[in-house]
Amino acid sequence: MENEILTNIPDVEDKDLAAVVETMPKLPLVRGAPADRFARAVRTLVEKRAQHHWPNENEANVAVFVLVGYPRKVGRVHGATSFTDPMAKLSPLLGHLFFSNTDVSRGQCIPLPVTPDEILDWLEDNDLCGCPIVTVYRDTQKMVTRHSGTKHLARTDEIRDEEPTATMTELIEALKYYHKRRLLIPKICPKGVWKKGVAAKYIPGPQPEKSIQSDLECALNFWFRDVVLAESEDSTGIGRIDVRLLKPTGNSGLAYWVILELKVIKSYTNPSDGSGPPNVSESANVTAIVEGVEQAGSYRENRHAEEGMLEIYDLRRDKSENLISKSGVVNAIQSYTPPPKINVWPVFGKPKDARKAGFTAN
Amino acid sequence: MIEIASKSVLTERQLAKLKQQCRILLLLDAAELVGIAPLPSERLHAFAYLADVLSPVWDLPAFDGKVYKSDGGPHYTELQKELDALVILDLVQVSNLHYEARANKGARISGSYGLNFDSNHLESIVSALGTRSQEEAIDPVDFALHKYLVQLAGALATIPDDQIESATQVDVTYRTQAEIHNVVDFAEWVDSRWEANPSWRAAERFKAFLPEGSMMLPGEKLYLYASFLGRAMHGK
Repeated sequence: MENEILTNIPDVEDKDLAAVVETMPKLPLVRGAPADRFARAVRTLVEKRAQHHWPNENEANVAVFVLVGYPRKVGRVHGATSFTDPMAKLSPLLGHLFFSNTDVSRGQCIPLPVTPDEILDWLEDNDLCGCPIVTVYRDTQKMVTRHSGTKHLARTDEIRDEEPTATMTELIEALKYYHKRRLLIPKICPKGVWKKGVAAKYIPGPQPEKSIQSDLECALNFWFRDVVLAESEDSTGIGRIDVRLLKPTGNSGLAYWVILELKVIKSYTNPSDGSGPPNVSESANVTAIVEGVEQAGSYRENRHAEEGMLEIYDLRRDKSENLISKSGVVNAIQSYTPPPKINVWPVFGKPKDARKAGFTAN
Repeated sequence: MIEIASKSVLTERQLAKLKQQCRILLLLDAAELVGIAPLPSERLHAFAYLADVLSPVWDLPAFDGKVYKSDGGPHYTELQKELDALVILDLVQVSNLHYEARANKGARISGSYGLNFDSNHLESIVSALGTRSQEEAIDPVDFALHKYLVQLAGALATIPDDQIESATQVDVTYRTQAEIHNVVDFAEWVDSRWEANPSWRAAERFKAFLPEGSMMLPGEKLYLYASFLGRAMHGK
């Protein structure tokens, strides 16, 4: 069957199929976890509304979206009415609580039953505390996402005035945002970047690149909704591509835009206890970077991508030595045309160290 | 006669009815999860048809490899019969009952169907059908089937309500395959299911428009196919 994919289908035009594939970045994020898919759908909806100056809204300021298993079952307990396709229909969002499906395309809604400050308590009182929740604030243009319910960590994101665009400038902005909001210190870091309980000793998790890879893919899909599709895990004949970004070609489906290779440099290996001197040598870290440069350069060529980038996450306790300037790295970079772009992102095992390095909470 | 684990005995006919009822509960559960229930009967039949014709995308067999083309879209007589039986069993709720005009000055009773969440038995039954976890499913295939139906229902939820049943009119198999006595056979007595099911082929062919090495999940194929149907309905 696989070989027959390339054959035409009677009465179906290839250009129609290609046109549909071009819309993939706009479709619900099927490959994401339900809570991520839900948050991205809410973001798409509210950013479109914000960019059109919140049509049909009154003075209300807050909307709350809750991902529930059975919207109709939950809705009828609270006397809710159904909503469909809020993206196309411009019925008001603000001042409402939505019991929604994963894609925010259908569900039930009620006027906010309590003040916005009391909504989390209300959700707890109504057995909805474990559901993913997104609270949207018009005045501050923020959305607060609680992926695992009322009692878990909340993440705040901007409701943007402009649509995302597939430019290198915006990609760098997205990577900076990811670094600062989702990686900088252990409290916000994805699970597995640091060894549990000993981040302050700068002991990484068993596979920190893997942890960053899936989280970064999710973050880039969240950022570049509608315009770019991020995906990971591509085993090629020459190795594995970490994250790749695809965008519409305009007439023939999707094409690779950027290949992102991820490398972690560190002071300690995972099994160590961090009590002695670093057990990962400088030369081992340089070797890892050289390998990353070669992968970013080769995969870009191999996949005909516009850009190859190497993202280095620096988990070393002492980050003073600039490894990018080492001759092995410089030689590797110069061997590719165009050379891969390289970003180095410091990641801290202790918040105090991040503050010392000049990073602030906002 | 078939003997099942509990030593009770079911005839082939009773077993077929039971399977049909389980299929309906799975379809309705998926529809409830994505918020498209209650479903008018034509829409439920359309959902059942699309679930069958696209099932190979998820590597599942079709429940029914053929479909009767009535003037209002796909129609499964047995499904309708067992749907009504489930209403009597209080597992399914019907609302908005009304007469609907049919061809040749005929009429039929139509309604909208959803799960009856007030039923004391519903939760244990749908759990046993694999809607909660693989461990609770009596048949592990049901767990995969339910996951598939939820994705397909989610994909159909991207189409406006009143267009879901119309979507079958532009479905590639439904509109292009030769019919005998108003029956389209895409997986029953055909020589090649791949050849007989151009909907499946179209869903698989989307991958040809991704660059080499890129991946496309079965769920993405379903969303793309629903998007394709939506565009086809609007002549794009």
